[in-house]
Amino acid sequence: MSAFENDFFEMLAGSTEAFENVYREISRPLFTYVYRIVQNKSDAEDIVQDVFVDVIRGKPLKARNPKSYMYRIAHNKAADLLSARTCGEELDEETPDNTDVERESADRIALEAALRRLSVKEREVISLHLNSGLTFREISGIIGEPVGTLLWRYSGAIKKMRRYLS
Amino acid sequence: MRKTKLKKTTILLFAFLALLYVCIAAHADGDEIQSEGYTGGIVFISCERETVTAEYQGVSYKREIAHYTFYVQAETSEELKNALASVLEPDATARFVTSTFTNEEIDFLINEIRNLAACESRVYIDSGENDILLHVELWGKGSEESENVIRTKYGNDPRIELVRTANGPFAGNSDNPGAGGDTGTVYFALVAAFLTAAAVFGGGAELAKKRAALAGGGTEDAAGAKEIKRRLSENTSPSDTLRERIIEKVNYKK
Repeated sequence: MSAFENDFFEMLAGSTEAFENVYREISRPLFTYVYRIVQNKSDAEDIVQDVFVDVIRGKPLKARNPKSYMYRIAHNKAADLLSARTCGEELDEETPDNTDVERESADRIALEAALRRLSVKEREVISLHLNSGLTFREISGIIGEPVGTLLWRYSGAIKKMRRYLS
Repeated sequence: MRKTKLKKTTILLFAFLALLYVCIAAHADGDEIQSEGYTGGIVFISCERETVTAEYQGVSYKREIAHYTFYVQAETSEELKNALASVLEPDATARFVTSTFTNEEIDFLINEIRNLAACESRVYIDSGENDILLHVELWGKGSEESENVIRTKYGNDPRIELVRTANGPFAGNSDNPGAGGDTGTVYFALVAAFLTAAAVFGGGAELAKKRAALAGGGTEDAAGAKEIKRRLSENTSPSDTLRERIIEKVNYKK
């Protein structure tokens, strides 16, 4: 059992120290993943918060791969949010405000702008593979698509990013 | 009467616009494939390099590997070999495939998968300094019987990995994968890995160069892709209050 899995199950048993470890390890990549899908920081934070709350309250003691389990919940919640948006409750796509612009470098802004030109599915596979370090097999388990399709999409997305940023 | 006529005209107009959109989309997809380097039965997808540590027959190897991803359409062992021949050396391909599987075995595997609906096959080639590793993935869906046939014959074969899942993940088609599936249908992928010595091919590095040339500057592509990946892998941080909010929600004692 990996250190993360140990901490995960200890967190379910109520250990705050284990929670801190799990939070430290997964919060940033998980947040980045959700943010890349929903494109809104506040929504992304709400989803990450809900993932932790659902996991801690639900106590999934038989989760075989805790990390994938958390990503799967995040994936479902993000998908629900996107579908709610398309069903009428249209939310404006977030644009970086002035403070964000000042804080972030020009490169970063260009990168985010290029990312927004990709489809949600493309951003999703990029983020899960590059930010979260998950294998394509793990990603396949999370979003329910064949490894080959994911590889194809990932490689196409990287090519598009190169084109957008060149 | 006039209203009905107007309604009909509007419907016809929308139908025409939808048809026009579909035609434009189809045309755009075609362009995309052409620009990716379509050569006969093979579509080149990507070339990436990375350093990996791999273990084969108890010995650890650390080496740079080039990953080539191709989409291959093949329904028989002959078609598979012919398709690979346009990527690898023709003779080498024949020896390569047959040295690992017999024609009968390949035909059996392909037929088993081909009997399934929504069959796809993709070939991944990792070419290192010393080895060539070829993964052939055949994806499909079928009945429990189909799966049992393959498991009985190849269940313990280390060259083959049978990945199984149920109810949806591999359903749909290439345009709409994961679109949902029938309950009780078995979806699985058959991953066959072939490993052979570079001698068969006259040098893995040479092959890698050839593949890069075939791909239209694959090495350069890989360098650019690496930089993009480095930039993309930078995480975005949530606000400092998120942790506190979670602790508060689940009533953890601070």
